[in-house]
Amino acid sequence: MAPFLRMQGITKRFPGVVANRDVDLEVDRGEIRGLLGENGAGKSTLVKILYGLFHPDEGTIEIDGKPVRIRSPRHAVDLGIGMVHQHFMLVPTMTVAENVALGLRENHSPFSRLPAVARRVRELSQRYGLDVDPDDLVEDLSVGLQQRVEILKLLYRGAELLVLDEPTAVLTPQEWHELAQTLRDLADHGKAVIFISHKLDEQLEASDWCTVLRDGAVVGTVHTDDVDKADLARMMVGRDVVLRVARESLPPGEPVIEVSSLRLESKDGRTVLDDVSFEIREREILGVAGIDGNGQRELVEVIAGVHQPSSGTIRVCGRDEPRLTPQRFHRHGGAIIPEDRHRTGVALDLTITDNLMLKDFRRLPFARRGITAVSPIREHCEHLVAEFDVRTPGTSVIMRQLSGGNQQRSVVARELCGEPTLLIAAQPTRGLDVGAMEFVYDRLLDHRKRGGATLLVSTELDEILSLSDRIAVIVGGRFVRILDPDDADDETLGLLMGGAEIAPG
Amino acid sequence: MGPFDSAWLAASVIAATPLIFAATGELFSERAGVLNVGIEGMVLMGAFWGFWGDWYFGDIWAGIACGLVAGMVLASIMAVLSIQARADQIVVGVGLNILALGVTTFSFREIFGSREEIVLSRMDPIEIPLLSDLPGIGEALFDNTPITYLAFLVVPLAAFVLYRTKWGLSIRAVGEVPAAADTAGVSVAAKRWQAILVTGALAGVAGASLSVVRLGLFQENMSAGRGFLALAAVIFGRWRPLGVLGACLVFGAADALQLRLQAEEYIPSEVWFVAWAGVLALTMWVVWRRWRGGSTSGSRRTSLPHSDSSSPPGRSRSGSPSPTSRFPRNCGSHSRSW
Repeated sequence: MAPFLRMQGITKRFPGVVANRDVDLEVDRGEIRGLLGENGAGKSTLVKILYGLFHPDEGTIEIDGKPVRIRSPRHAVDLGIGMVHQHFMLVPTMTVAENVALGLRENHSPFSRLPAVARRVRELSQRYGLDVDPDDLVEDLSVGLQQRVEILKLLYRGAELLVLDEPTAVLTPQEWHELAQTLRDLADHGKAVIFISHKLDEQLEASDWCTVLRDGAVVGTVHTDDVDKADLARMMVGRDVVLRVARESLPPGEPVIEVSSLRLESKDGRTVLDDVSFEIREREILGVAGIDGNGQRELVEVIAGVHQPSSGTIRVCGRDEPRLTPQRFHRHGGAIIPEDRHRTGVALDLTITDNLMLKDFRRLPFARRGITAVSPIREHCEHLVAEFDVRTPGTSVIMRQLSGGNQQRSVVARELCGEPTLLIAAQPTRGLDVGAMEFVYDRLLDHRKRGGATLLVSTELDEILSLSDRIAVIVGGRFVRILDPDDADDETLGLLMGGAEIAPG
Repeated sequence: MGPFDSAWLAASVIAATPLIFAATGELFSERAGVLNVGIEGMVLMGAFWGFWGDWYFGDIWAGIACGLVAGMVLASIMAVLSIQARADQIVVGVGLNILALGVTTFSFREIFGSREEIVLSRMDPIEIPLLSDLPGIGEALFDNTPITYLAFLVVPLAAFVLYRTKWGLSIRAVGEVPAAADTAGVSVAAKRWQAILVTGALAGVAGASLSVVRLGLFQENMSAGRGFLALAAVIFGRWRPLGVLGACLVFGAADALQLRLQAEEYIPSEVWFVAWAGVLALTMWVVWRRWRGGSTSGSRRTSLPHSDSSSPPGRSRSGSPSPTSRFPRNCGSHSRSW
C-alpha cells in the first residue's frame, strides 16, 4: 500500500537561494516523522509547500497514492493535511468551541450551532485523551492546552496528517512530555504525524524516524533507536559539534561589579528580589540558575539600570553607583543580551544596520555634530556581519526577515563589538539551534578570555553547568546558594531550584 | 415642571435613534478590525441623499433607501482604500469625511440652491396600542416613528448576527486575530469588506433618519458630529451591542437635556453646550483609562499590514511563523499593549 504522503524531488527556489533541493519525504499512517535541521535548512519551506502556502518549482506530491497539486491551505485541509503553527492561530477571547467552529464549512446553515460543535469536540477530546473542555475561554488555558485545541481543530476537520512546526518552543518540560504522549496516541489511532524541531533530545524521544535537512537537501533519514544525539548533530550541522564546551580555567581579576543586599519590591508591594549579594570579577562567568519567573528578569533589569532597587548597593569597578540608569550602565562598559529578543533585543522593522548601530550611533566616528556618517557605519556593519557570521543577503535587510539564530547573532554582535567590561546574557540561546548555540557559547568564552565579566541567566542547566565559574541558584528572588560548578550537577541544581533544602557540603 | 419629564424622555429617544443606527453599524466594522472614522461622512451622505430621494421620489422610505445606498457607496471607497490599497484607516476615514462634506454641500447647492427652502413632510409616528397608554413612559417610548422602533430592533439583531451565526463568528475572529481567521480559511479581506458595507448601510439610514424622518429638511454638515459620537458610543459600549445601545441612550439623553436647558433663558445656551461637551469628554476619559488598563474583551484597533510579502527571501525567512505575518494584529506605529 502506498504511504499516506509521498513527496518526491521537491525543489523550491527563491531569488538568490535554493530553499529545497530535490527533497524526498514519505510519511505513513501510524508514524511520527521527525524533521530536523538548523534554522534556514528548509524545514519550514518544505511544510509550507505541503500546506499549499508555496508551490514547488519541481517535484510531485502524492496523497494516498494519488498525485495532487496543493493549491492553498484550504485545499490542504480538504486533503487531510493539518498544521499546528508555531504561533498558535487561536482567538484568545473566544471559547474552544468557537475557535473550532471558525471557518467550518460542514453544512450550509448560516448559524454557528456551537452546542453541536462543542459536543463533537468533547467526543474527540475523549477519544484522543486530550482533556479539553469546549466551553473554556482559550485565554484561560495553559499553553499546553492551547496547543491541544490546535490539534483538536485539525482532528475536527478530519486531518489524517498532522504537521507540528516547532511545537515545543513554548512548552514546559512537563507539557512537552504530555505532547509527546499525545502524538504517540494520535499515531496509534492511525494518524500520520510530522514533528519539526531542532532539539535533538525531543527528536530522539518523540519520533520514530527522523529526516535530517541541511542547506535545503535531505542528508538522511534514520531510525531514532539507532542513533544518538551526537549522530544527529553531526548530520544536521555537517561536522562534529562540541555539545559540551571546553572552558579553560583562567585566574579571576579585579571585581567588576559588586552587589550587596539587593532588594526590589514590585509596584504592588511584593518582594521580587530579596537580599541578593554577589560579585563578578574579570574573566569570570556567574551563572544564575532557576525556574523561569523567580526574579531573574528583575535581577537583570536592576543590574542594567532599568529599575532602581528598593535597597542595597551596587558597586561598579570599585566605585559606588548610587543611581544606575541604562545610560550609566552603558557608559561603565555594560552590555546586555536581553531575554526577549523580539521585544527588547532587536527592532524587527528596522534594518540590520539600524539594529547594529542602536547603541553607538551617537558617537564618533558614526556621527559628527548630530549628523550620521554613512560610510563608517556601513563599513562597521559589514565588518560585524562578517565577523559574527550573520547570514543575511545584506545589511539593509529588515530584521524581521532573519531567522531567530541570525537575529541573535546580530544582538551578540552589537553588544560585544564594544568589548564590554560586564556582559549580561539573559537566556542567550533560547530558541536557537545547536549551530547558533555553539556560536553564542564561543562568543561568551571569548569575552571571558578578553577579561570581561559575565552574568549569565539561563533556565538551561547544561548551559549553566558548562559555562559558569560559579553558579547561583535563585528561588523566589533569593540566591539560595552559590556553588562551584565542580560541586554541582543537574540533580543538585534541579533540587535546589525546586526549593529543596540541601546542606552545603 | 423641570427638564426631566416625559417630554425629555421622548426627545432622548428621538435623539438616540440615528446614533443607534450609526453606532451599531460602526460596531460591525470595529469587530472586524477596521476603525471606520469615515462614519461621520457616511451619516452625512445618508442625510443628504436620503433627503434628495424623499424629495425626488416623494416617498420617505425611498429616501431612506437612497440614504442607505449612499452610505454604502462611501463605505466601498473606504473598503477599497483601506483593504485593497492598504492605506491607513484613520487617514482614509478623515479624508472620506471631508469628501462627504464637499459632495453633499456641492450637490445641495447645485440641486436645491436656486429653490426656496424645501421642507418635506416628516414621518408620522405610530402609536402602539395599550403600551402607549402606560403612564409616564408610554407616550415617550411607544408613540414613535417606525424608524425609531427599527433602531431598537437593529440592536438585538446585531447581537444575534455577531454571536449566533457563522458570519458573526468570522467577523469577530477577523477583528481579534486576523491570522487565526486566515489559517482557518476565512478571507480576512472579504469579511472586512462586508463589515464596512454593513457600517455604510446603517450609517446611511442613520443620516436619512436625521434629515427625512426627524426634520424633513437638509442643512449643510447636518450630521454635526453624530458619526463621531457613534464612534465614541462603540468604545463606551465596550464593543458589545447592548453596551452600545446603552451608550447611545446616554448620549441621546444628554443631547436632549442640553437642548431643553438651552431654552431656559437665565443661563446662556452656550454654557449648556459646553457642559454637555465637558461631560462627554469626561466619560471618554474614564473609558479610555479603563481601556488602557488592559481589559480582555472586545476587538480593538486592527489594521492591515503595509506589506504583504508572499515571496520571502528564502532561508533567512524560514524562522518566522508561516502565514502569521500576512495579517498582523496591529501595524507597527499604532500597536498598543493589550
